[in-house]
Amino acid sequence: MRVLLSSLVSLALLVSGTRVGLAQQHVHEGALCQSTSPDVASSRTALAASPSSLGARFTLADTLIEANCYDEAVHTLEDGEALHPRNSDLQAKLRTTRSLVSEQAYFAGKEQAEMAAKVSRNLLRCSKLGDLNACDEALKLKPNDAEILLSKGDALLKASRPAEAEQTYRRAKQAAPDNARIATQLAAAQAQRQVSLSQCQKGSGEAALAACQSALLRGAEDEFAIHARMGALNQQRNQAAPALASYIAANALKPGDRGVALGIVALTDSGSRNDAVSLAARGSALLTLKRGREALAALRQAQSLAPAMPDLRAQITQAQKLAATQTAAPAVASTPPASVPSTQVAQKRSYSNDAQPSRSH
Amino acid sequence: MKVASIRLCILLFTLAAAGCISRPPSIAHVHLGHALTGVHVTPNKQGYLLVAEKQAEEIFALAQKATQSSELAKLKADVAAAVKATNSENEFGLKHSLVMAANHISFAATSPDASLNVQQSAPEFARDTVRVVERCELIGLLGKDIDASSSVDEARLLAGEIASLAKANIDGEDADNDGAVGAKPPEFGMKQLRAQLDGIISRESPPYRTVDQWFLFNLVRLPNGVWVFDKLGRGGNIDGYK
Repeated sequence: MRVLLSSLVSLALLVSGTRVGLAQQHVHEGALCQSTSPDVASSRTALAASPSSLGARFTLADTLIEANCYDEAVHTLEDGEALHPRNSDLQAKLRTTRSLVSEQAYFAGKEQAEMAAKVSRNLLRCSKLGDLNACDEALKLKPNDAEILLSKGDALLKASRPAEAEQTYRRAKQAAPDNARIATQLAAAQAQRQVSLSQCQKGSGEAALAACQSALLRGAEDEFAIHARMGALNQQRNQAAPALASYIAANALKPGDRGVALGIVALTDSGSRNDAVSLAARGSALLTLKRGREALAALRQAQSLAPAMPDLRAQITQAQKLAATQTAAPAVASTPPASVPSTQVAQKRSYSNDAQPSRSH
Repeated sequence: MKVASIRLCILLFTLAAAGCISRPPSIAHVHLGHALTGVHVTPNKQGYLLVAEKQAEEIFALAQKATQSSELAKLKADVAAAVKATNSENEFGLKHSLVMAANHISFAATSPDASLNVQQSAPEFARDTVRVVERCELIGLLGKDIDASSSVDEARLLAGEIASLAKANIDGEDADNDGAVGAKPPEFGMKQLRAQLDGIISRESPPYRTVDQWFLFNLVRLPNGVWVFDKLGRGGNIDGYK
């Protein structure tokens, strides 16, 4: 009784933020029932051997409580009621154990209340304030909740990020296929993305770049075209690093595009980018432009920096073959003399900041 | 004359025994009285549920005031006061008072003299307080957001949400839009919880009677866990009671 009352007092303290007392010893928040523990097994055997022994029944109930199996402990004691009717010790023990069961339910409810409040707060900020961090926090707790996904989609759409909104609405649709509002919002996101795509392809400057960024959708058919266009737009604005990153992304999606290759070569000619990714991209681009020996040099440099980089070996083999062909027939029109510095090559070949991918966007 | 005098004495004794000497209430009913009528630790020594109800009204009034403010500092001050009335332990905020009320109903259920009605109803009551506790948690979180906000519009919007939550904590809500407010536990507010406790009381047999203040304020728990009335005012190990 003392234990029970102490635990109930602790319960009040616990809900109000102070976790102390005997409650912790008895009802472990979220702990799983370990009904197959050796202690429980031996107590079971002892009770089976003498079912009318109240002591053995109490021992089993206690070991079940220790193993967090409160419901089973109650059943064990209830089974004893038929054998020991109106036994005051059994009744007191039952009352205590039933209280532990309700305490367990209370802990579950409390935990649920805290989590529900956090989700509600994040959902509110997500839907009413367009707070994307709050959307993501809410999704961490409920990753496939259609309502949260819908709210995040709305927030993204409001923030002029239709591609991400489209992606989010698609996830929401998977979670709730019959939700009409999700379908409507998905269509709205797709329409807004088309507008952005058009601005990306036809516009210029920062506005076009922002439109490209908002239309960029991973896995979409136009992903390559948007990356290539962003590369060109950044190159026009003398933003070498983002331009190269966009071209590299485009080249990874679809190697062999001459416009993209020209952009990469132009941006890496200065030699300022000597990391494995840039060198590999330069090698790949030079291969596209049929400049075998230079491609081989860049790819080998990349390999020395990152031996495990995928596709390098195959590209090196390809570059070796091309270089061998070019050595045998040095008068390939597009290949500059080996002695010409790459910067001059760039000038002669108009590998300027105006280089454009071959595809129209 | 002598016989008449004896009869008169017997009559007076009987009247005195019936009217003046009252039997102490059951321990379970005293615990219920702490939730309903009075307990010596709360402001004005009111019962926990009564304190919770008053705090719920106060929170709503403060939140409403906050929504009408166009000055960020003023709005924040009103919201801070509403949050304090919601979650303060020292000043018996709504959450703490309600949890204590549920707790004392649980004490009643585990008393040796508890009726089956109280034993069965106490866990249900505790479970049904969860939605109000959840709204209190949310009011606390939104209060922090308002405190950190530099935008009046944002703060006012969030204060509006706090006001809605505070209203729901009084009257309940219609979460499932079925036209019925507070029809089920996930929609409960203080109004529904009060009705639930009134139901527990009305089902008591022998009937529950308002517990005298002396019993309410002098119930103590001995070191061995037994609850007794502290007739000599010695206090005792009562773990939160006194």
